[in-house]
Amino acid sequence: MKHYSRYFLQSTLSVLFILLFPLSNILAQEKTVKFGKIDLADLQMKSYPKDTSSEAVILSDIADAYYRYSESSGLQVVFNRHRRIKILKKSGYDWASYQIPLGRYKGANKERIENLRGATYNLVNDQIVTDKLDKASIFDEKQTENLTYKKITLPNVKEGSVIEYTYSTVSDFDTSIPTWEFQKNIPVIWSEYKVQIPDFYHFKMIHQGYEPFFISTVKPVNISLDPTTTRYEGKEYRWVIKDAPAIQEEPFMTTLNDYNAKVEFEIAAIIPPGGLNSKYFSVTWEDFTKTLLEYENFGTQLKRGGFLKEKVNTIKAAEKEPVNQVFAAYQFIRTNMKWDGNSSIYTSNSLKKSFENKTGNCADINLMFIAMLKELGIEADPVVLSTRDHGRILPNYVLEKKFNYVVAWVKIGDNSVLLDATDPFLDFGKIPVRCLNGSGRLIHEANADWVPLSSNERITKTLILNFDLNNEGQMNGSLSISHLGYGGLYARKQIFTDSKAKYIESFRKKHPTWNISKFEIEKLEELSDPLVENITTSIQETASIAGDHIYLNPLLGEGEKENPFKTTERKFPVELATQIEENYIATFSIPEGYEIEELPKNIRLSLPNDGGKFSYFVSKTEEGKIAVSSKFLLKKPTFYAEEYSSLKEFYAQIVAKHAEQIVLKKK
Amino acid sequence: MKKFVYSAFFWLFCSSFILGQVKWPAAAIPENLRENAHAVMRKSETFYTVRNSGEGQRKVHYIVTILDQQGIEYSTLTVRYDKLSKVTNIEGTLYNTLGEKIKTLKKSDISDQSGISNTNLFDDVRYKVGQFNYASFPFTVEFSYEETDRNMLSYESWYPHFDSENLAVEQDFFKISVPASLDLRYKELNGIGAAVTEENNGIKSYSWMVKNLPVLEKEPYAPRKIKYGPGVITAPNEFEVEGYQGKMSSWKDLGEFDNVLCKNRDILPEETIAEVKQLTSGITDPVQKVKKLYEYMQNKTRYISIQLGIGGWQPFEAKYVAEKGYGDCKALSNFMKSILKSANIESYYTSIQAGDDKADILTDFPSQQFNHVILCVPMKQDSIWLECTSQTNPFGYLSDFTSDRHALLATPEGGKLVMTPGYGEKDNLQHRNIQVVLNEEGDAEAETSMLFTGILQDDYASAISRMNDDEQKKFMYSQIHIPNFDLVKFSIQNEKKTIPVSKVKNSLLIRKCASKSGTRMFLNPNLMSVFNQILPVTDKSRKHDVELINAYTETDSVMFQLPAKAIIEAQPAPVNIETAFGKYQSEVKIKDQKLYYYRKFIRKRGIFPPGSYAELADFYKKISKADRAQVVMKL
Repeated sequence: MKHYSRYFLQSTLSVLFILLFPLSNILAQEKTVKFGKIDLADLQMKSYPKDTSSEAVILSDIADAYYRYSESSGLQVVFNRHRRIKILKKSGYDWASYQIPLGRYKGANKERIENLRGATYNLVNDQIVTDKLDKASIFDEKQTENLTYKKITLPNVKEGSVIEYTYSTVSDFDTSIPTWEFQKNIPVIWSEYKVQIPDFYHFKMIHQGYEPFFISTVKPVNISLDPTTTRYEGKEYRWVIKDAPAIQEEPFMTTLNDYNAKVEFEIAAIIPPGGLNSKYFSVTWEDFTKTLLEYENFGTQLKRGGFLKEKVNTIKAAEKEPVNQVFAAYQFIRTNMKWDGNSSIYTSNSLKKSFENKTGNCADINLMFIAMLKELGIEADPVVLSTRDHGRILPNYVLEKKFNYVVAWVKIGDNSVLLDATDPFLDFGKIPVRCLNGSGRLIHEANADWVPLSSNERITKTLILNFDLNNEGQMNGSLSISHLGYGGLYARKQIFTDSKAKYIESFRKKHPTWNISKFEIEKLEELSDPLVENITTSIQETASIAGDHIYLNPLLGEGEKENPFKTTERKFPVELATQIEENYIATFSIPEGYEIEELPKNIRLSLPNDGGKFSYFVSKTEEGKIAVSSKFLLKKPTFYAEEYSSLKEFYAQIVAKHAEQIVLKKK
Repeated sequence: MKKFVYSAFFWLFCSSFILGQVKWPAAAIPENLRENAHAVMRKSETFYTVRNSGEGQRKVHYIVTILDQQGIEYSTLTVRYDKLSKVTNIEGTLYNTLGEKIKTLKKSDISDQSGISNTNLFDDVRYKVGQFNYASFPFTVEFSYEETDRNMLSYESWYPHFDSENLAVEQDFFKISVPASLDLRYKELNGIGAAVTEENNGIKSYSWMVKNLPVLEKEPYAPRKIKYGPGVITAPNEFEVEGYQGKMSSWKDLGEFDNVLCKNRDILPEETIAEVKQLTSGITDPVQKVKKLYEYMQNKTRYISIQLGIGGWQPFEAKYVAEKGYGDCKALSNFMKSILKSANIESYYTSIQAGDDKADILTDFPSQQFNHVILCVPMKQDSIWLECTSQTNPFGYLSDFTSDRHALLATPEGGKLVMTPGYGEKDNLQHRNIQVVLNEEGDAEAETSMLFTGILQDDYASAISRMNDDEQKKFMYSQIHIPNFDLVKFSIQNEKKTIPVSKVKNSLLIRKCASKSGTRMFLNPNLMSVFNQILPVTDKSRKHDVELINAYTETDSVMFQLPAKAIIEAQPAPVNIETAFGKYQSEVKIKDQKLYYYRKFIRKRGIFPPGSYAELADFYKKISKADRAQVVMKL
């Protein structure tokens, strides 16, 4: 008991990846917004000064959540919301339609809506004209058996309108308090969430975001759940964020979900007064492990690999070395199971059933793989993780819903390796890029632990060019492009989905001035080797002749052409997932009767904090040829916002260097 | 020997007939159909029976083999239905690679899903979705279902090879039966064979069959009308929907039906009529009156789509729109028509097929081929066309959403088919005027002043109307293809005219605008308009015509102030190309340490014979080369 409440306290006070400084209580203030009482200044507003072309602004979004008792349903969570929006542009009209999801579970527990009201206010001849939301503008969309949307659309919305709506949802799911998002893709002037929780409910609260709280307070309250019963001790939390700017997707982000300011709740325990009938939910990582291992659609399945016995025996007979046995099982699962594209830590079916269907989600496939390894007598356990587009895992918070993927942790001799059998093109020993997201949690009765997922793997592309330039400006020769690491995976995937012919065709399309006489792809099936494209070609129009001069871009236009980092500022980190490496090594012979007049200057650059390096060398070889080498490496998968400008500059230099030319002159 | 043959035969006999299991082995698919296919339709049968003018029945049965992951969507049965239709008797069977039956579709494998599209707030569309969740390739699924249809404004359109890039067809059969008294109208398209007809007991039937259609590679710039491949479109002579009766053997009849649906739906509240009167008082020019009222409508309403039953065809009453301030294309067009009527201006409710990638309707086949409604206001000279679902659209501008195609006017005399105006190379303009100061390092400051009109301004107009400050800035960055630059300042202005205009000004700081290598600088004087469309040239002979949909004119005039020390070592020669597809000119001139670059490109629209594809590719290649030509300077 003590243990849990300590955790509880710690969680509510925690502050994540940026420090949020709640202003002291002295500055705290109330904001009362009453339905129907509209501020004239809001109606007169023409544009929002902090974002002058914003289509709409949320003037206030205020909600509270509390518990109440009902004779029929027991304890319920009531959530009241009141949102008021100023419409500034016609494209902001979409904000006048809104939908509220209402869940239902096995017919018994459900959410319902109460007191739904809405109105539009317009200023007509300096008079406020009100149009109320009527029944004809409210719809119920039955999405699935367990999910209905209550949809509304407000009347007479114009540029300049202020709209508002308010509603309550009453939920039988007493262990779930709605998440509150303070930020939207339009600015929010005042966003406030107040939550009252009786002390016998223990929740963990998670705050995240890049916007500071204007108010963040906790105070003790007496809570009456039902007029006839006694009052319970409890706490009231209140959070306010003021003037939150619009949040929008940018390139090189994991998911907006990782950046958005919000507060979430996860049930830890219900400990009624007196301590009887206490219920604990997965709270510590030990509990988390235990819970998962007890699940029918997780841990239990790990013991259900018996149906693979026959194949297991074949492998045992054929392979003696554990590493070969693991590989054989890996290949067996990969050839027999197709990933359906769904990420989950829970199996969708029994392993046997999924095996019959030959398809399943990542849990079906990887838990089957682990079960098979266990049958083989090899130490293998699941590692649960969150994919990059699902958001990051916070080691201080034990939240099952934060995990959406599972891979296999396999012990071979003294080494361990992470494997994922969902991808037929993955090189043995790698996990997909989508999984490279912080750490995963190894699920094991005794040795549960964090397992780092970030890999030192790179996307590597190496071009080796060997060309003869003739006196008409035509280049003849060959180039080989090798793709290593995740680069090999991407190239192989492309080739397998498109077919070899289409892959080559699309290369030709991108090189219209190339007359390709040979195009071979090597090591397509040897996943642990680099994939190599060998091309023999003649190229027109790359070198240009003018008078006595020939000008030539030594990278033949294959270099970096545009800076991927465009904007001057960046708020969020740049997430590249892997290291990136690109090398060009070229040799050119120059035509008879010509000599080198000028070569680009050599350069060597590096990014601060060992973030990356770039080098570019051109020289004349002993045989009178020109040798060019360009190498760049980004060594960090993540660059912080403060490093953005140096990263942008780094690319600017590469792009500039790659555009430079060699000048030849007739002797 | 004889014994061996006997036993082999016997084995085959047993496995396929006595056991009765093997039905659709993947191995039986002809090799030419497998090539590049992701799925193969083994056999498909569609029977459409018109019971009477108000009800039809569809029976569908098909067997499809899924060859790989990219064909997986064919393993799911998706049947759309709504308030006017009912789906019954869904059945399905799963076969493995060998064609052995391994599963039957159970009730629990069929889900019922909401089908409300993103553009609709609410409608009655739902889907029955049947799935096996199986993925050992290749495998085969067989599905069948029946559907009762009371939405008889259209019968069946059959396009067996609509997905010709992914799906091969072994056999597909379509049969439609109608009471002889109603008879059928149909049109055979894109080279389908002639119908087999029969008549029995007062029922007339027409059937078509296709066989052995391999996967086809998509040809660039293929005409839009061949998009769905061979097929048949069918339509009623007379029909009934939710108690409304109509005819469509002529465009006149079909337009008449719109009049029936709109009847008495144009009554406006007194306040609205009074407002209209007040707004138009004093205006004598009818065009100005329409403009004033169009802007009134735009400010008063917004687009909200609610489609229920006959509401898919019939507009909400004008009164409803006046009160709520919203409606869909039908409701808003009808509302606008009612407003104009109250100002004594006649206008026509106009059905059209909207979309920038849509082929024109089949003008010789009167039928419900439309997906949108606009309004046409006849004038003494040119008619005014009003898009009523947009609150920001300039008065009289149709954009490529509805321009240059046939539309059906519902006039008091019935339907009339007319063309909407198109936008040619004189309407769609892009003018760039750029002043650049280049320094010895190759870095530059540039001031650009640009003008876009017609469909070339649509993105800019939408940036103003839809984006916030930050998004507009990102949009500007995305429109400029210079390797390294900072956008110091920008402005976008929009003039709402019948041919709308966007004016864009930028200040740019360009890193290495000219690439500097040693003592030389290499400059591409075509700073912002490098042409990027390179057409693939293959050895295969072109099958289809070449269709260029949009025409436009681009002009660039760039002035570079060169560094004092720079001496021109090489410069591109003037280029002048004229073809059937358009005209291209570019030229560099140097005077007083200033470099002037001038470029003009006119792209024409039209349909050109298949043989002209190589010429088009050559034209584009030459433009692309000229656009990349460099100036070399020595310092």
